[in-house]
Amino acid sequence: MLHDVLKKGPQSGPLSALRSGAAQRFNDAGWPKATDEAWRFTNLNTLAARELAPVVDAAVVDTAGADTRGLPDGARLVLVNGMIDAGLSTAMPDGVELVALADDAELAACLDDERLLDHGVARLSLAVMASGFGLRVTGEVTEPVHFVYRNAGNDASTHAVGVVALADGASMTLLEHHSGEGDGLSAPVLAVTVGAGAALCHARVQAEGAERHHLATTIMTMADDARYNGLSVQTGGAISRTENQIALVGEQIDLTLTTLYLAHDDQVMDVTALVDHRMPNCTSRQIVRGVLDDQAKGVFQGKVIVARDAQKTDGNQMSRALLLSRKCEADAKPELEIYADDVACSHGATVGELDDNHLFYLTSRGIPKPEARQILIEAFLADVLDEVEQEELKSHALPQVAAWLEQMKG
Amino acid sequence: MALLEIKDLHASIGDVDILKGINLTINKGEVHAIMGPNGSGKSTLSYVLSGRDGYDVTQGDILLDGESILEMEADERARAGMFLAFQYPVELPGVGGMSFLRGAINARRREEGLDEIDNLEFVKMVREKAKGLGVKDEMLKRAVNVGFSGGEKKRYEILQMAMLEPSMAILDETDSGLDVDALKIVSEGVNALRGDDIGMMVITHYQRLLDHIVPDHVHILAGGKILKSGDKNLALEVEKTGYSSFIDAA
Repeated sequence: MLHDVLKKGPQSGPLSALRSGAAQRFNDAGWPKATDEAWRFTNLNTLAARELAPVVDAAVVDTAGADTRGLPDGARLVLVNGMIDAGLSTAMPDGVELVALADDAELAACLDDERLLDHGVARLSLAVMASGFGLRVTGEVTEPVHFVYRNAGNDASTHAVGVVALADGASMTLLEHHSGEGDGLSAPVLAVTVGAGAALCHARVQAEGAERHHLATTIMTMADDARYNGLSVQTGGAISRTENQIALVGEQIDLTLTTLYLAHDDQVMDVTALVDHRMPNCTSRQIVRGVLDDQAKGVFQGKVIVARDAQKTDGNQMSRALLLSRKCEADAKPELEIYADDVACSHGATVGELDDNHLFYLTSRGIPKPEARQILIEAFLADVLDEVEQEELKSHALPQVAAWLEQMKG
Repeated sequence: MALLEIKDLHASIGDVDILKGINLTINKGEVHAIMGPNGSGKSTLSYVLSGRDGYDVTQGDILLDGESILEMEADERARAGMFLAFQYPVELPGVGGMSFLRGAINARRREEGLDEIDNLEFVKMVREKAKGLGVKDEMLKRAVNVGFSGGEKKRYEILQMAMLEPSMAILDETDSGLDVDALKIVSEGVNALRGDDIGMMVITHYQRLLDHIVPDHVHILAGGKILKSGDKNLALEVEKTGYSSFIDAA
């Protein structure tokens, strides 16, 4: 089935070899299995058994089913079922050039990366992607750029593949929003390069419908003096994973990534992150907070690698999960791999319930218990959100958090 | 009518009996001191009165304004006028102090069928009461009790009491962890709230707090029972002879 799809896609240009290579590897290995270490906690067996049809052109599923209301103002790239919808998209601001990867060998090369080709799901997206897009960013871009991913359709998978390349000294704010209906799979791939002295502010909201599946892979490569501030919020999907693989290949890099995952009912929500310190004198801070209710399952896999040459690394990774029900589950796998001897690294993962002492203190002041619980859940998240300094990131991501908290009350 | 009536109160945690038949009546306008050694059941009494989960009342009753409160949750009791100043106030990271205070006031106002408090009126009220207690603006802006010193936490408890205007206030070892100056400020704050509309139960291990908050009645609690009651002079007697003489006599 896969090869049929590939025959329909563009077979020439800089992407063709990459695509056929990725297809070969996916066909050989198949979907990730529960025996694969990287997928131990998030089981894709039922998804794999469904033989989803990848969407490679508008004819495969009815893209009109995608909800395209409520698009953000300003510069936006709208991807409907993984393909750019030129009619809904708007012009990019000065300093941002939008290209088709099929026409741009330089940006397309960013996808030729083992982190993607070796990835059980990302390589499928490379193999079947309909139209890869690239953003070349130069200079200081003040207007934020929105990537709006809208998906629809049953028994279909969508594969938006993009590259964002910040040139040396460039800066921008990128705001992603993913949503969709139906029981299909969204498997977006984004490859980001942050050049020397460049700065990226990045917010990502995954608000897919309850029946959908969302398996997103972002790889990022940062050069000397690059800055990254990220805020990621996920609330949607039956099975979802947000995976970041970040390589720090220069010195004096500063990375901060705050991730929230909020799950209820039978949702399985996975946050997987790898930060690879390859050079000295870099700082990385990752903060993860999860709230789980009902029978939801949360997965945190966090790994920090510090290479032998990466002396004076300051690497932190901390995950906390809050369990609101006795039936939910949190799996955590924090890993540190340190080969340098002069580093300050910390990591950890905790799982806990609301504190009875905290609840009693609030109720003893007359606040009803449901309200007191709500206050404490919000506080659990506010504690880390207060640390996010970029208002644009918060104003993009926090409405989704507020909406989730609001539905909890119902 | 009595404000608070504790009738033959027995309470336990799991299989362990802690309170073994307490009888005590507090009228409006009165300040009662409960003194006792460690492990006598003082804190348990404060938790059972305020409705904390995990304590089983196995016998007896607690009446507030003539109504039994045994079936009421902690929040309902608070809205009915009960207030507990904690021995160890709880730090709540991420819970803003002002929104916490406002939430507590509004919970009570909703119960009384009133609109939520006007924001300006609220801020004015907090500032005014905070000033009297030496609670700085900067403290009010922080998360509840986070980064507060021991003395600041106790002052913040009294500030909450001043804001919520309870009819029955229980002060659980409010003097613990306070130096002399802080003790003075806190006591003055409490004394300012004394009046005909409020009853107070001051729980303490030591007599020194009662030099500042002078009680109308003093009760010695040991082994889950009140062994002796008297006026303020009983506290002085305890200071002189220790608790053992009362326990031995009982």
